[in-house]
Amino acid sequence: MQSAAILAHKGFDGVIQGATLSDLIQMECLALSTRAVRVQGSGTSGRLFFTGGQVVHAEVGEMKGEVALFEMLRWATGSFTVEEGVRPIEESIQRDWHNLLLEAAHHADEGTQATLPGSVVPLPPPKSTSDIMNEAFNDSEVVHAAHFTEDGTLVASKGEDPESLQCTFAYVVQLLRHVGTSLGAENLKEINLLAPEQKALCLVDEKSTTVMITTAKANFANLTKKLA
Amino acid sequence: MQHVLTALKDIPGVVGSFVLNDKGTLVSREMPSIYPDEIYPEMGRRLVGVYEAIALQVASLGDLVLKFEGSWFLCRRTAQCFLGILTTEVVNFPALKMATNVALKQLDEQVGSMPPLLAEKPAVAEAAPVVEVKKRFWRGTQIE
Repeated sequence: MQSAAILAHKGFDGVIQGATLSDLIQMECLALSTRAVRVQGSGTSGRLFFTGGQVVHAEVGEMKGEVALFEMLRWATGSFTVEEGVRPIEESIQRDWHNLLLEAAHHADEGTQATLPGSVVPLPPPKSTSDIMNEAFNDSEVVHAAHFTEDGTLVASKGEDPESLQCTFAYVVQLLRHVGTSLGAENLKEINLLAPEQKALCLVDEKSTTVMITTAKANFANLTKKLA
Repeated sequence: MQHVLTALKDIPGVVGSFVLNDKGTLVSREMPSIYPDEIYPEMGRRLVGVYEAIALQVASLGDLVLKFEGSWFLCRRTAQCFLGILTTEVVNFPALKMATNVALKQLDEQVGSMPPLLAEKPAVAEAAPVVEVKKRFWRGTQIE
């Protein structure tokens, strides 16, 4: 990236060649700058705003915030111009600049989004409940499993006869909640059942129950982590 | 038997413990006094129900660990009895497990011969058959 800096009264003027926008951001942030930088890419331009050494706003066309910042960081070539005394109308970026640059570098390494125009922040899609269940249920130590809601809807399962498993544990959970009440213990969260050849892990909350019948070798901590 | 349960309190975090026989009837307890005797019959019935339900679905269950907000309850079963231990959330579980192994070994030898601690409601005795006492007379006069 070729840069042309129009600096204020103090300091050096000049042209830096080969610098990247990331370099510029680091420099501005480390200098605790408060100003704007106009970035000219190939056929398009954007602006970055710094306040007290943090990137607080970015805009490229209609895009604003981190989306715009990551878009500019994807540009392979361009130039930039410093605009002194310019402050953003809004502050659309809250994250620390280190994190932003790390994430940009991470995405650049992956290169997954580099060829997709317009898509900038490749955040992974949030996992759905069924994705999470499948990940846990597909553990090789899980033999039978069921995830059902408090109203009795079977949401996900593994193995034969999940309805039977659901019935058993819907009953067991109710009984054990009463046992807890007798002991002054509320909010049953987890049940571990240990038998010589099999084990069962049952995670309970107000809305649903997840039960997994496993081999004796299963690691409950790992399974719980997968469902977290 | 009481000393077996008292020994479990050597493990930090153990709040109290009790023993039920195989029918779920209380035979011994070492629980804080805030837990009245009235809780044990219902609790015993429910624990027996849980073990029976699990046996139908999975296998013969040995140990049961319930994790509540702030406290845990461990129930271990042998052929003779259930041993229930209430603990805080912070307890050295391996140490507790070993302590209960020892306790169960001692309890199993005793529980079979122990009477229930709480008097069970006596079954309604069958009405004894009315035996008609025949009147006895001697020369026209009734005698005892």
